[in-house]
Amino acid sequence: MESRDLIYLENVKKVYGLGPVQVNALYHINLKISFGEFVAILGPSGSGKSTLMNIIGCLDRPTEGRYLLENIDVSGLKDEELARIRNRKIGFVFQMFNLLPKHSALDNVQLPLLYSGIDPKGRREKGLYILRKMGLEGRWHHRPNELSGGECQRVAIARALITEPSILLADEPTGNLDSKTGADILSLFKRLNREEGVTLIMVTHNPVIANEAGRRIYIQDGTIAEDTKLS
Amino acid sequence: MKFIDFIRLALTSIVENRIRSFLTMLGIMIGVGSVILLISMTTGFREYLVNQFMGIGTNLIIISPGKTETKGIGHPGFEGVQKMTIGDTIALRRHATALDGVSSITAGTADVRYVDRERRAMIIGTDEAFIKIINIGVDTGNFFTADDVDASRRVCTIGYTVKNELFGGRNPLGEILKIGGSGFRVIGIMERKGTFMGTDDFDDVVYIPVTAAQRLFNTDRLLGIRAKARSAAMIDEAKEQVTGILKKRHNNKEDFTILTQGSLISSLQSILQTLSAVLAGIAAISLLVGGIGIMNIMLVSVRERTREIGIRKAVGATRRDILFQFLIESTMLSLIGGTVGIFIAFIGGVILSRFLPQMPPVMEPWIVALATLFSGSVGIFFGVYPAYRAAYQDPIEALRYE
Ligand SMILES: Nc1ncnc2c1ncn2[C@@H]1O[C@H](COP(=O)(O)OP(=O)(O)OP(=O)(O)O)[C@@H](O)[C@H]1O
Ligand SMILES: [Mg+2]
Repeated sequence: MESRDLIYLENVKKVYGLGPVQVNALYHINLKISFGEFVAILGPSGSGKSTLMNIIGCLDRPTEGRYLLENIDVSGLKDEELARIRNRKIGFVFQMFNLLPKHSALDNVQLPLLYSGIDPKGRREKGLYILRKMGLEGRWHHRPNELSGGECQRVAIARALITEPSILLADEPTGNLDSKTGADILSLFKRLNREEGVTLIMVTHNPVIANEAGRRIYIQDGTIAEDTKLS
Repeated sequence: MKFIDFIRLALTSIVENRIRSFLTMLGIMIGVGSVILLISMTTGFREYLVNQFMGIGTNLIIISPGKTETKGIGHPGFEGVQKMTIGDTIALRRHATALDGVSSITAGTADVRYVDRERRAMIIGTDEAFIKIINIGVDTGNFFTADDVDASRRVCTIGYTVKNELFGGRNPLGEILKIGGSGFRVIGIMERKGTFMGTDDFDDVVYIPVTAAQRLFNTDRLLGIRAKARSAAMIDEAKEQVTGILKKRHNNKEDFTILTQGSLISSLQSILQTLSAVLAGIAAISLLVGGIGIMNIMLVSVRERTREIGIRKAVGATRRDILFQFLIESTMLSLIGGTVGIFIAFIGGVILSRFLPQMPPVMEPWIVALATLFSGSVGIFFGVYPAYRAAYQDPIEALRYE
């Protein structure tokens, strides 16, 4: 079955554990996401949101079902090919920022380019450029512990964007920020989605943030309970 | 990811964790350093020995009374000591065509006195052929002649130490030395020779005609005979001739031992080789211990950096990237440790050579190459398992790791 969607999930199931202690983190997931969408994923804690994000981000594989990313069946790919997809097509933003603590903002931002095989000069130029775009030009040599939460998250977003991925996956990106900083980060995301056409998939517990998205997917007990397109 | 990026990554990590890196390297450092130093000392010692043996003269053949069962160095003379006399020397001179010089040796210690100064010195009784066989010359005056030996004249040629101790600044030539009570006229002073194997002072010696020495020590025996083959190629032939001639004179019994420099050196070499093998064993053990230390620390490091591994994987690092990152880090750690060890051994060698000027440690290039190679291999070998653990971390679990 051919699809022209960016993301196409068909009957995806994810089971954790073996034998009697099995957890059905996801089951019966059917989902299409097109280029340029802004999708908010909502749901109670433990419902499977992060699991879904990890599968979409090629960090994890579904136990069953098919996952096509840009028409490529990802389920059968080797580790190296998955790593390449994570590097080129996907940008991750985490709730905990997940920056390397001993490295400067610039080094953190450049990290994906290291695995794209770009030379140090090119890495540095691109890193500085994207930090400037994020309004962090004066902060490039600071380590994460010398930056505020909002700045850390902007460094993380810069890192996610540096390889110009088609999908930006954000798992509760504002969860660790105060509401003002959270709002700033949200408007940054919205601008990226609107102006640069980045496909944005964001997990959030905050209904206000979810309201900004063009589409809301509600997950409960490992399945999609509701999928509403707004506007 | 390019190789140079891995190197840079490893160096950054090593520098970031300076103290831990240093402690990790310590095992390899000490192991490589001490083993290289020990091997250099052995090499220095061996070169010293070889020089010493070559220094006594070339193509030297040492004939001693008594037969030793084992080849090589030992103490000839424990079993069936037979007489060896000046007659043997004369026979060898006459019939052994492969020999270039034959000289009788007898030796003992005696009190040597000049006016009011006295010291106990080594007395060597020999003949005019001696200075031709042994690499030693006369500094001033003369060595005694065949005529002096035949007439058993009481003349002597003294070593540098004897001259210094007994005569001080005075010219000893023509003076009378009392050796064991009888007077010997000093006719020459030997060149300075230094010590042999750190014990016998070659300069604390008085040479007198062998005939006079036999009278002094009241014996007709010789301690041995020193001869010189015409060339290195003729040493074996010379040995055969000596054996034949002496056997005929000694009732067809081989009651003497012939040693050549070659056999002495080769038996020394084999002793030193055993020593080297022991050192190699120590080296292997110390590298093993160092390697286990590296593995230990790398395992801790992999665990500590679990989250980092998760982050790197999330942004596109392959298993291979992670594997190489850790493998190259452990290899660099042990290579740096090995290099520092080599450096320490070098410094240690320089310091030691001030205390042992006669046998300075010699650090041969192949040892350096081997040490580098081995420390690198240790890093790879003991780094594989931790690196493998790192590479096969599940990215999601790694990211969740606290
Ligand atoms: N590695 C794992 N092994 C076993 N069970 C797991 C594992 N990871 C997740 N689960 C389970 O799968 C279910 C879904 O987890 P997931 O992290 O996707 O939830 P979530 O919706 O992101 O929750 P939250 O809002 O708290 O982040 C949970 O019940 C969780 O306990
Ligand atoms: Mg979650």
